[in-house]
Amino acid sequence: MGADRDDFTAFVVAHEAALLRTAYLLTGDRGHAEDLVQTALARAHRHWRRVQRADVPIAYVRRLLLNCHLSWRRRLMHGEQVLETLPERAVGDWQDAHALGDELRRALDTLSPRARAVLVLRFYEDLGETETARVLGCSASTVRTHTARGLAAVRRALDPPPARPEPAPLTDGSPS
Amino acid sequence: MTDLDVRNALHRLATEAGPPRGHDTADAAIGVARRQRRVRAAWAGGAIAVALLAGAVPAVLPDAGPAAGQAATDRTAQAAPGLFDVPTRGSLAGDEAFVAGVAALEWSAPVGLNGAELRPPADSRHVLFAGDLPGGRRWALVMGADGGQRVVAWFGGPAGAAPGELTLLAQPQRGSLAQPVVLLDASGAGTLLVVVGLPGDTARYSPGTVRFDDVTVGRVWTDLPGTDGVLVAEVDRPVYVGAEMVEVVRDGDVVTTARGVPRTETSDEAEQ
Repeated sequence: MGADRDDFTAFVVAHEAALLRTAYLLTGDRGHAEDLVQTALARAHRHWRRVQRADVPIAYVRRLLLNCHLSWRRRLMHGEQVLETLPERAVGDWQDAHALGDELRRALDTLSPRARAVLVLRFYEDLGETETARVLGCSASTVRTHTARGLAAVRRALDPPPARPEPAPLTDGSPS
Repeated sequence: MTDLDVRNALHRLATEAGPPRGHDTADAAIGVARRQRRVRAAWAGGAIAVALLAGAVPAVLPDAGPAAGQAATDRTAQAAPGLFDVPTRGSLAGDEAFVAGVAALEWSAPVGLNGAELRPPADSRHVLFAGDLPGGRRWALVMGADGGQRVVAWFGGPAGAAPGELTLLAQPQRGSLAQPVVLLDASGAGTLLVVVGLPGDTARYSPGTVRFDDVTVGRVWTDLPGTDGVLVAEVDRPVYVGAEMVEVVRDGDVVTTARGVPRTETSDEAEQ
């Protein structure tokens, strides 16, 4: 039992940062991300032998994380917060990096949890379509659909608006 | 913007995650897991104690009531009704062949513990709803049980479709006897919302937050019409995917508040 605990702790120390980053992209909130990681790790501990037997234990735990996040029951129980005030644009520090991060977060917030998860798995975790579909328990075509929608939303948010054409110089209408 | 740019942007955003706490996180997770084990053990112990009492009391007190088997039947009858106890509803509820055909459809979903595949056997399945809906839709909702876990699946097809022509409208989901089941379809000309709850349930829908003329922000709600706990309406399309909300009220209390209502897979494709 002590050895199991040591192994589990070593696993957490090695992988917590990566799980937190994935959870942060899924939830958009540090606190929720920490809750999500802790919930997934608690499940992993309950089934630690199974995690250890998995070909890639971190992939198994990442799947637990996704399942926790997408669980309809969890969303009902925690009752996603009602947005009673529109989010204000960030003020103050408008350095490019922060502005881009803000816009990206806003774009991710417009996606359904599943579409957001697809984007994170495909472009952050670098999973292929088939593997993403397997992790999420949906079809590859659904993954393609969510990918297209997610990319469109992100591009809308991050692509600079098209430059306006230069206004033609004013003339007095007299022939030159 | 290329896929690589999106990848880089996500990696930059991910760096804003909080710092790991290592051993503290591991200790906390172990603590949570142990508490959950204790709670499960307590529930199991309680269930055993109740079962033993149910058997022992009639034996000790012959006049206290019926035998154990009869007592169980009576308790079931007195328990609060759940979705499983309500007869099939909808315009096709009286079509016994259709309902039986829908109940016979095989389906499964990886929605169990740790992604386990749940496959409700035929004798566990009950058709909660079967009917024709606006927009030429024919839908059915089935609830089944596998290993004590309830699962629900929506099937759909065009008006007049036979049970064998119906296909899954969305990934089956875990359900419960008490929780209403909701599905939104935005694939047709009109956005359709269906709520299947218990008789007497009422529900309302909001497509998202809006800014009113007085600069305040809030939601506009539409009450969903229906009888017998089946509430159906063509509603405004969500302001954006996930902005919509459904509230279901039972006996004066909100029993479900769902933001980001489950959708048909064809809704996703239509919004591509």
